[in-house]
Amino acid sequence: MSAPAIQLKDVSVRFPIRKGILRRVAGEVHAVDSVSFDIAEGETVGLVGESGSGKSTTGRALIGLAPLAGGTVECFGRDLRALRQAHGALPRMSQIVFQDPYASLNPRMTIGETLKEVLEVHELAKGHDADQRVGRLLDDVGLRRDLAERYPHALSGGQRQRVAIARALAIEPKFIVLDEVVSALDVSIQGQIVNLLQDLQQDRGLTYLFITHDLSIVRHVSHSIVVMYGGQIMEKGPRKSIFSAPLHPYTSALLSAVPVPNPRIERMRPRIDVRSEPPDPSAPLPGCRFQKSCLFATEICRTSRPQLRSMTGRDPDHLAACHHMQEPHVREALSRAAQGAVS
Amino acid sequence: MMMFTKPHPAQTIRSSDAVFEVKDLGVAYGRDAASVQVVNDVSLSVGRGEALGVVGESGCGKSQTMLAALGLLPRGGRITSGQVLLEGRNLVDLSPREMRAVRGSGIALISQDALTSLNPAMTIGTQMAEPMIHYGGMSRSAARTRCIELLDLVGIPGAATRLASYPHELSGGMRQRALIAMAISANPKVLIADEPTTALDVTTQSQILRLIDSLRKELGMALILITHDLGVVAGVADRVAVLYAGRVVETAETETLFASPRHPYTKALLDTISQLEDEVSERLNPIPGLPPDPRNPVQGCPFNPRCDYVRDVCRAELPALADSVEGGRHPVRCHVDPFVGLSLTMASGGAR
Ligand SMILES: Nc1ncnc2c1ncn2[C@@H]1O[C@H](COP(=O)(O)OP(=O)(O)OP(=O)(O)O)[C@@H](O)[C@H]1O
Ligand SMILES: Nc1ncnc2c1ncn2[C@@H]1O[C@H](COP(=O)(O)OP(=O)(O)OP(=O)(O)O)[C@@H](O)[C@H]1O
Ligand code: SF4
Ligand code: SF4
Ligand SMILES: [Mg+2]
Ligand SMILES: [Mg+2]
Repeated sequence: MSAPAIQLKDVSVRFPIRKGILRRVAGEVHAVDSVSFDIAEGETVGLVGESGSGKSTTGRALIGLAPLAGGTVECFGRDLRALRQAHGALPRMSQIVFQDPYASLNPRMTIGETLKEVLEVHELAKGHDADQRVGRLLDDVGLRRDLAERYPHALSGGQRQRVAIARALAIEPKFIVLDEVVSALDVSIQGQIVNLLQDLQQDRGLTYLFITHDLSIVRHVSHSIVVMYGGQIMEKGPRKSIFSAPLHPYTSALLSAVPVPNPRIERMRPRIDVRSEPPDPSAPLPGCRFQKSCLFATEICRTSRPQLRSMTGRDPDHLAACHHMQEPHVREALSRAAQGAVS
Repeated sequence: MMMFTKPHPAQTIRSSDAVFEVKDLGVAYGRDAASVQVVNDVSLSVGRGEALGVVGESGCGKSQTMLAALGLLPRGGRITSGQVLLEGRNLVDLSPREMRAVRGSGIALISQDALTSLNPAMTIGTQMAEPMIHYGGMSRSAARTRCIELLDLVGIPGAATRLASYPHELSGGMRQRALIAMAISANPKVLIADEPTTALDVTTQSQILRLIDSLRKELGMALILITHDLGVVAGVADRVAVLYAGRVVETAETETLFASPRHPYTKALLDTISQLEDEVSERLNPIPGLPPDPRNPVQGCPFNPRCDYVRDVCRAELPALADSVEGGRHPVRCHVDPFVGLSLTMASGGAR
């Protein structure tokens, strides 16, 4: 196998918690804690997990927008920190697209001006040449060229998301972080954007990190999946085996919570429940991050952090961090839930 | 296949069975030439203890229908036609004061922006107790007892201490539980939940849905669940109404709707969702184009620019919501009704 396009090794990101009028640092949020995964060139990794689990922070760290407290990020074989020191700026090969393109588009600039500015700032084109490139970018994302004259408020949510994608494409990146890009859109528009992203990936060999809380979309677009909880990876592996036979109790709970659009199945299927509340990222507990919510937690889960490992007799690329994942009672409960979720 | 039989008018539940009915409701903003019709001829009904799902894309009029029904339209919005009946009593002409009483005990709404509209400077207990004291005439201590009882009922652990919490001290799921507790505090006959789980994580979403469903059964409330997520209605609703461009385009029992949708829009939505389960390399076949903008209404059937089955008549005439085949149990607003044959053969059998 060739070297991966993107490689994270033990990446940690912490944010200071400030208190009082003097804004003294009173602690730290462990937003991302020793996260490692690879993205193969031309493929998509789907990053899922609940709100606050560290998905966006991981995505930002990947393109140099969040400070690393530890670990390394390699982008196409080059260390991100070294690249930044050499160029003093974000490397042009990576881009990020956010959920709310309205907030990230300048309301006082037309779509054409916004795109042209990107081309000019990066010295990719100017003047008439830039206008032509803008036209082609709009073609690429399936927008009519006359939309270049419009302001963001005069576009629909789906159209704005296409503009945000066009803006990311303008600098011809090889890797794009897509942070909840379809989450706010209707099913019909979601489908259109997903098709667009997949066409672009096939035509240009783009590599994606697709961040979302929508498990049905991620299942459709991803080659592999990374599941985060409380800033750590709970499970990662090929899409198929994660969805059909999750190893980790949290993944199983997540999958069984997704409503199935089929009334007969939805009303009958067994579920794995999660108890209580998500972990407090400013006071991480020793042991497993999922311990408070896990139905299978025992003493060891409270004292020792489980390491990612594969399961005997299963795909060696499919890893999970759980002390008890091999045990029959856990396997049985998870496979019962999985059957309900996939049929 | 073209249908020449004269359609039966769409049959809703007989008024005596329905606790809550919306009949031919219209809502518009602005006046005269600037008038924009955002809800058109919407009829819905829900029986005692029944759960009705209302689904449709963003902007199709789901929230406006419910706000109008509850007399909560914002400035500029007005009801242009129709009736809203709670146990047979028309609410449309009630005074604001009478309407407030109805909203307390007759119908409760968990509004779409409820999660963000909690007052950040007031404890949960104060926000819950205030209407009980003001409108319910309860004493402070009785209200407190009732609050604890309600928080217990919606599964908030340590209810007594939670009363002193401020909204930001609760997680999204806990806040939604508190809002549900407030909504059911005066034993409403009808609970309207407008996208109650959209802002929540999937695991929390599923817990909240099951909570709402079990409260409905326990308290015998009728439930109207508004959502854009067909998976959500699949688990909870007994019947579903599909809205498109401010109109009901199809209603049916939930199982029937999923097994044999009749409107091309419903069919296309369900197909897109099921395609998501396919392999990565396969392209989706999403509904093309955009939903219509009520400021530029489409002539004829509003779905015609996006419809695979469109004919000339669709561009000229608005189809009526009617059912000529299933005895009025599965009305659809479509001239062509392209899956009707399918619907009859499949209704007793297949799952999807
Ligand atoms: N700039 C920041 N300063 C302080 N804390 C932060 C900052 N950014 C993120 N955090 C915290 O880090 C943790 C992870 O946040 P992150 O936004 O990465 O989560 P997420 O998985 O993307 O969640 P969501 O699904 O809600 O977008 C959270 O506890 C969050 O509050
Ligand atoms: N205050 C207002 N003035 C004018 N038009 C409005 C107003 N509020 C809503 N509308 C319009 O009414 C139509 C229906 O809106 P409504 O909020 O009912 O949609 P919805 O189906 O609830 O959508 P969503 O799923 O996004 O909540 C939309 O076209 C909207 O733009
Ligand atoms: S390590 Fe323990 S607490 Fe963590 S997921 Fe496994 S069983 Fe549950
Ligand atoms: S009336 Fe015509 S355009 Fe409208 S849904 Fe039916 S077939 Fe399609
Ligand atoms: Mg995020
Ligand atoms: Mg709404």
